[in-house]
Amino acid sequence: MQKDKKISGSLLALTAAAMALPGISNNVNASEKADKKVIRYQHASYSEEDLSGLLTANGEESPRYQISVHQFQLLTPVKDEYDLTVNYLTEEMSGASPMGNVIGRDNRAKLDMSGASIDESRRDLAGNLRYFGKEGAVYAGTLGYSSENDYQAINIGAEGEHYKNDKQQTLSWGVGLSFDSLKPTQDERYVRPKSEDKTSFSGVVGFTQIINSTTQFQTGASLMHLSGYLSDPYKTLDQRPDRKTQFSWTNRLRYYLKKWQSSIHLDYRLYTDDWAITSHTVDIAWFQPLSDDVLLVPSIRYYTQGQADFYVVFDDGSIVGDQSSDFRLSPYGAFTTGLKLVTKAGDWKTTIAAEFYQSSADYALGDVKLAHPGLMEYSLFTMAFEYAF
Amino acid sequence: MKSSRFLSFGLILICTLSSGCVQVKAWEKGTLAKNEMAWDPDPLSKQLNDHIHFSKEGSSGGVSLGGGGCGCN
Repeated sequence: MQKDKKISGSLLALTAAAMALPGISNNVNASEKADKKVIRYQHASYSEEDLSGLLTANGEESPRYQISVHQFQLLTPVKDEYDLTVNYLTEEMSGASPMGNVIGRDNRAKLDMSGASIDESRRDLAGNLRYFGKEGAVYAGTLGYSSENDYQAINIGAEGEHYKNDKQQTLSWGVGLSFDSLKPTQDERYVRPKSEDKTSFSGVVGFTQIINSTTQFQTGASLMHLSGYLSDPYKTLDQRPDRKTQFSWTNRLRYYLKKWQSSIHLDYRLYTDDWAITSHTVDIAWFQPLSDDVLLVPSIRYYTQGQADFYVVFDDGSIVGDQSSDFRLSPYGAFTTGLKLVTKAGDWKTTIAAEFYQSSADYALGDVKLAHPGLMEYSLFTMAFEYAF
Repeated sequence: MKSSRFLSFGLILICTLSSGCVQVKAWEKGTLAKNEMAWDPDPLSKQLNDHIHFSKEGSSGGVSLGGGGCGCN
């Protein structure tokens, strides 16, 4: 008995010493409280590919959107048991957008573009306060506000994490509410609503399991219910149901390949909603250290979705009820390929990345009866800095 | 129908993975604590990509709450 106590005491001391070493921590998949301040900044610029004149109603080549995003983040400890994250984002958008699909002279659907360049900007401010309880739990509250000239949204949320079995397992949950209001820009040529509202409620639950010293797995389900005005006010003929319930199931695996010191990320998401859209998303990323301070991350993402039950390939004034020719509701598949380079120097970290998104009806998993003529392609370039102090 | 098949396959996969778990001691968790092994090692890129996909695709949702706003076009 005495011997057992001695061994147990030695083991405890060894464990405490081991945990004090850099890189050895009991906080693995669990949220960790910030022990220093971190400032992050990222600039992203992405441009959607121009549309060929063969695809537009007036036969002229049309530019799509150019978007520039600046993101700022401050993470700071607050007292002993709290930390706070503040995010601020600005987004500038300019270009032309499809107002609908019409039948062309060749009897094929063509995009009716908005013509004149649209300039829009969005500002988003969000805060997240986390409380680290003594009973192996973390609770967080979030509050966010997003503003565009024609769209305002306020969202609030609460999240929690509970650790079991020496943090081998983590249970997580979250509930959120968003209140959105739209005041579409008026144009005497079109009939647009003056003011509309939208409300959404979402709930998530998750479970994380450490499989062994090099593998961990996470699964989570989310349910969202939206109600109110869900149509696009800037499209000529766009009428969608005023309710939508959507469900997603996400699975994520992290595996460390000792031989090459690589971390492999494998994510899969199943999504389905009562507008009849089902989608599958697979994300794979390979984190390869080239030295102690340089990391290279190639990635690939595959996405495929079926069509909404009220999707139409061209707008039809004779249809009574719901219809939309929005490409987001059409059947297609998309590949994103990316490459990221991360370098560290002291307390600084710099990241540069490029991503290319290409979508096509030919990439869809299921049958495509009505392919949309103007699916999206874009290139995204980002540069980011991080400083911890 | 397809969705329920995927769901069943996933549940079987989770059960298989869970049954193969071993108790990992604190001093064995160094690898799992690496930033590259985090669920989302780059929070700003994660936020940006979630927002882009939300505004350009017909589906959204994950294991954490999303933000708000439209930014659609």
